[in-house]
Amino acid sequence: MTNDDLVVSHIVKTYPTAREELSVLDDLSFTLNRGESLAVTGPSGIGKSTLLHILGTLDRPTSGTVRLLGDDPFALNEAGQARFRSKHIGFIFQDHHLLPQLNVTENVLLPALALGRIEDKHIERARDLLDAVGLSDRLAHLPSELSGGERERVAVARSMLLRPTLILADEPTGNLDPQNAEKIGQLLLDLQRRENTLLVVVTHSMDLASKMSRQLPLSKVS
Amino acid sequence: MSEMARTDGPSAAESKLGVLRIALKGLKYYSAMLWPVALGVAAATAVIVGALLVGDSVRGSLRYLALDRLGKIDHLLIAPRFFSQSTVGKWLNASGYPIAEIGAPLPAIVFPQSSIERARSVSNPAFMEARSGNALVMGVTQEFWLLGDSMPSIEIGVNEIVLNEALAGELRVSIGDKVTLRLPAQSAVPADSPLGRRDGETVNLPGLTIVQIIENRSLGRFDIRSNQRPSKNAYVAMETIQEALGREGQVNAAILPQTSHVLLPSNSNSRNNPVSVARNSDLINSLPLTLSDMGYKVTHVKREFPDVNLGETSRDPSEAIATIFDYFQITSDQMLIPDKVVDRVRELWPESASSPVLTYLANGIRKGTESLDQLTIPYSTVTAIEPSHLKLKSVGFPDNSLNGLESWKEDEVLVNTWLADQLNLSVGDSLSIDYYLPETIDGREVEQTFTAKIAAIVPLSEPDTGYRRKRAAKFKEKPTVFNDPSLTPEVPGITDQDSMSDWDLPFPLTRKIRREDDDYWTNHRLTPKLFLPKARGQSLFGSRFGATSSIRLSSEEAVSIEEIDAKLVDALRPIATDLGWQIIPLREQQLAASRGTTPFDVLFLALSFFVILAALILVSLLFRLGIERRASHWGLMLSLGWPLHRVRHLLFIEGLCLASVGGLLGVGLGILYASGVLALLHSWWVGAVGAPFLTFFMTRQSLFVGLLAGVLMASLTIWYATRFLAHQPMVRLLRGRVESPIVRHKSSRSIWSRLAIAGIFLMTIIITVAGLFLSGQAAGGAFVGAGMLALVGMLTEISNRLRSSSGESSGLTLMTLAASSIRRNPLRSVLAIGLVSVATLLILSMSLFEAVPDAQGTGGFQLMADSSVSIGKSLSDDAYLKETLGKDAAIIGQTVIIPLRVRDGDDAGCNNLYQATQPRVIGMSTRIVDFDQNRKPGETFAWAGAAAATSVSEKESHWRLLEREADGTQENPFPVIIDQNTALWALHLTGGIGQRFSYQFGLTELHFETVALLQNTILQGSLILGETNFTRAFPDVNGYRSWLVHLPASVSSVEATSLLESGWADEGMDAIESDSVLRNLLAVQNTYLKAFQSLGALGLLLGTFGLAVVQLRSVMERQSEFGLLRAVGFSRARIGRLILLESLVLLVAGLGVGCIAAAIALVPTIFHGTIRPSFLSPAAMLGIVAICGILASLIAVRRAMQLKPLEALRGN
Repeated sequence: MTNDDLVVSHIVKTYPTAREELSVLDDLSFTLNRGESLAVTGPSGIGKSTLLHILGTLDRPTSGTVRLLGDDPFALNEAGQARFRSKHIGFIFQDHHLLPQLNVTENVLLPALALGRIEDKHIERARDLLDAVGLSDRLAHLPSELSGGERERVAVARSMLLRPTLILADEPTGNLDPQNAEKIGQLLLDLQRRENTLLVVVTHSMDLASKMSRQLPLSKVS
Repeated sequence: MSEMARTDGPSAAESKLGVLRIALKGLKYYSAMLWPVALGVAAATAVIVGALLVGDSVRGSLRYLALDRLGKIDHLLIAPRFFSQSTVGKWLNASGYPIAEIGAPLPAIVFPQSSIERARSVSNPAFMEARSGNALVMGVTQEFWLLGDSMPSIEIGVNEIVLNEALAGELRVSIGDKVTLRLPAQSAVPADSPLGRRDGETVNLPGLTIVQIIENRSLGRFDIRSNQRPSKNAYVAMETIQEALGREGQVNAAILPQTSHVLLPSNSNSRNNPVSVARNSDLINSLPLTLSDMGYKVTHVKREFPDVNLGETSRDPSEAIATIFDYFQITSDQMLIPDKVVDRVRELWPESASSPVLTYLANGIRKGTESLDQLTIPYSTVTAIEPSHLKLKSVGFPDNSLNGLESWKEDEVLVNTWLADQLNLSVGDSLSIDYYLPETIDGREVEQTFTAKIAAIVPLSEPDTGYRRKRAAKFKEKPTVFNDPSLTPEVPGITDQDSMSDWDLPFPLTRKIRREDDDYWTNHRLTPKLFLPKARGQSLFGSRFGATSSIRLSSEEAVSIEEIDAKLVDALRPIATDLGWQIIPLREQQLAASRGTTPFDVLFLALSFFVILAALILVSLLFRLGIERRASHWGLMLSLGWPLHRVRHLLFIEGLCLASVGGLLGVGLGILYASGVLALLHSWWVGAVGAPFLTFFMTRQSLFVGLLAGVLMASLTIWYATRFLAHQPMVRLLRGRVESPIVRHKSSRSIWSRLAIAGIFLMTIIITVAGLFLSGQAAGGAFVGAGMLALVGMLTEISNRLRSSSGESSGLTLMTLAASSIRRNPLRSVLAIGLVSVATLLILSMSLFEAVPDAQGTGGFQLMADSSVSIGKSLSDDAYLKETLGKDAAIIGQTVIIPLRVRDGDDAGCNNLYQATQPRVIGMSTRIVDFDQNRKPGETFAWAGAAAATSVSEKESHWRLLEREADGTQENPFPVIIDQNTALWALHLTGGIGQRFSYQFGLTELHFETVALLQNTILQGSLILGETNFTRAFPDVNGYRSWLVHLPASVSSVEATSLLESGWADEGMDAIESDSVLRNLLAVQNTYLKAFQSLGALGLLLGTFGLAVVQLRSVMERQSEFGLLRAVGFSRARIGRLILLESLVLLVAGLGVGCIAAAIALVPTIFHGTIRPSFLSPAAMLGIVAICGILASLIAVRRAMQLKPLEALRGN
């Protein structure tokens, strides 16, 4: 047993199809510790997002284990996994996934509601994060009133709300222009360092990947 | 709002952020997408609320009608005979009269069923005769009108009459016209006994002038029975009827109004309310009836010789005045004294001091037992007495001639010297005595003979001068105890005639009356010639009307007539109800009946089941579409750590809000819907309720229950619809895609799924087969059950096939492309098919159920005839027909006529919406068995079921089941046949064959057991007993009041109707074609079906709406696909055809599933022959469904064709 914060061991993921099983990840293993950031790169369809979903417990590996701070989330039941995600995981998606009916602050506060009631500390934290991502003047705005970069920043702030152990970002700059992509990349790293979390980023951007402390290029399974 | 204000921060709002707030925000944001869900809920709620309000309105209207037609009238006393009007006046002051509850009683004369006719106009021959045979005639005082608010503006004078609109309309008369009223005469002797009048005596009141026609409201539609149709009423001054009947100062009814204290209706739903029965019994006990009111008379019969009052002198002048006999005698003006009265009398006086006597008419007495050539003494009275009383002083016949008679054997008789002389008889000789059976059979007298030996010859003195009309015979020789004509009760038309040939008897005197016989009449009148032991006499001559003609009381025990009178009155008042005195709690009875036969709310709800189901499927479909559209949101929440239950909770709150809004909207729509239904029940569907009497009534309870049911069902549906989230991979949700996972390998279809489908189809088969053996509501349940299961089974199979399909095809065509689109979202496709199939099932079933009159409904009888008064004679009797119809008798003689006895009661047919609290009972003649046996199968009444036969004769015909001997007790109930519709819907007898039930008739509770059920026949609305059991159950009902008439081909129904109505016009005969009766009855059923077809149309509307939504949603989801197709060269029209093809596949599948389910559900009904499906109407209905479905698809087609290729490619 290692003392690494994130330990991924022999992950295999296959999907059934009409003719045969489609193998996406084959015996993938790595570790990650606090303060480290990992860029997962590789061509489309190689299984980058699948890996991210498995790390975030949104998908289950066909075999292999994932341990975060020594805990195996896949040993938990569905409710346990939800609690696990709430406590340890922060997601950032390529298309940000903001609820259009909620304003900026409410969108950031959404993870807190998973635990029950919104508390003052959550509101303070949300404001703090939104300030940190440069949106303190947009608190009551609806997503439809924001630019693409601003929406991504809201998503970044939301991912940090509950001080997760692991932040998972799926193509966070995929839909952004180079200038905004640069800003978001930097923001992610700044916040990761500030919060001392683990960061796993799936990206096609070599610029963004190079800013991470480690890279994990995925290649086609033979 | 300024930018700054926004920046200040929404701290308060954020602190309130919770699931509810997010749900509300979601509802607001996606309102355009979600409002159809609320509309779906509104549709379901509206159907429920509407059904409940229709029920409220029917009940409310019936209740209003009941209260309106009774005014302040609470109870009605109906007497079995006319009695002194002054008794009614004294009632108020009698102890026990509940003055606190009931006001002063009003005397009245009531004839519930009389005949009234407008004469043919001499001046205008076109003005044809018109008659109503079932008018309610009331002889009233002016005070009667104060009980309601429809008082005629003028007082009704002598020879004047007031009609209500209903009767005036039927007779087509107006003010100033003259009518003839025919009232049933009160017969002294029961019509079913040989001495009774059997040809329906009536008293006519001709030339009554109509002075006013009053509205059919308040007392203008007063009715003893509960029916929503206005009764046909005639009101005459009481004195007019009294004078016409020769009953001055007498009435036959009393009206009891309520005081300020209103008697509340009983909440008991039982047929026999014991509290009410006890209260009415108390009420009648307080009625200060006199002995004369009850029809009994006490006389002091004393014979002295010589009788100075008669101016008698003895041959021996020194002979002192001697008492020959001296006793008191109780007699009835109905000739016979009922056993209950005899029992009461014998409780009052010691056995030895009271002697019941039965005197009967012997048609002929002759010597010997064989030869018919012997001299026969015609028409003599014979008296049966108790052997132990024979020699008793006062009540017996103490005479020296009996000294040698030690014991009196059963087969021995005593004859008087006159008879012995005439027939040359000696002690020990045998006699043959001819007599009529005490009850007629089929309206005919039946003569029988018994034989006896002479035990003694008793002396009879001959008078010096015989009887004159008003003077008794005078004797010079001392009369004997046997010279007592008082042993025979007075019979008007006989005992008051001077000669035997003047006797006014209902049968012809066929035996030769010699001079000696007439001399005996002159000298002795009805002095019995022969005496026999009481037991034998009663077994031969006793009947359901009694076995005692008088009771002799010893003058040593009784002091005076007054004393006996007083004792008797006290003893008989408590059994007044047994003697036919009835208190009818009109208000209580009619309010109880106003609960209605048919629970319209339940009925509409039950038949709206499929509509509600369709609405709920739609709610599920629409809500699910809403969830799917926002799939990425739920994926996001789950990825942020929201537990699944919290996400579902959020969705449920959304759904609950939608359901609540929809529910409230549904309440409003439900009110409109109910108003619409009522408007239709007033117009197009009036056949279902018989008369346009309905007004809108609404209870808060119905609104609340309807709202709650709608919201609850919708919420559960919505909760169920969110269930699928649990099976969706979060990753797929995050991508905004929700698709049913396609199991690619056919072989991998779950064995459990296959088993489940097999189980469903097995259950369908079991229920369908069970339906073959079920009847009534159980069969209805089987119909719904089999239909639903078949539907669910087929939809599940389709769903599985869609999921398991490999998607491989031999080539890409427009059809395979359409099929692949349908497979893309199997659940959605299945729901769309389900919606169309539910509507198809409903519409198809209802159109197939339409009933058509046929020979099995009329039983082969072309006419049904009813009279307003009973006719005791047989309409098949040639002599009677000749006497009535003259040369036309031969025409009716060719017909087959089945007479029915009738005990009036509530019409329990489907034409009457009131609950039958005391249904009409008819007594079926056994002649129907012979009739049926001469008919081809399929031309007699159709049966829905019958009890197992226990004898050879019962195997012969189900009608024979009615002949099982019974006494109407709980242990031995009367076997009864009922029309299935009457049993189910009006009487709520859902137990089918073998069900036992009871009804209260007066104070008597009679028990019945269903032995057979008829199916859709003209005999609806009554309990049918066998004639023998009927006369046991209702001994007071005499003669026949209804006839079933079968006509040979040579006699037309018009001709027969005319002869019957003219021949028995005085009796109020009314003949009607059975087909028309049946058509009217079936019209009720068919109107319901039309109503429910309309509900099917509502289901269809929901179905097509659902189909349109599914297709539209599909088009919107596949914008980029269509963009691509356009990009690769598909024309707009081709894309349109693709969408149309997809819709048609769903539509055809829906129609197919619905048709197959309907066919399966209807198997038992078709097998039973209950319906003879007509395929034209269902085909038309299916055509409508198909057209609606195609029209709905065209919306989606239009939308797809409008897409611009580039925007579509971008998925905008």
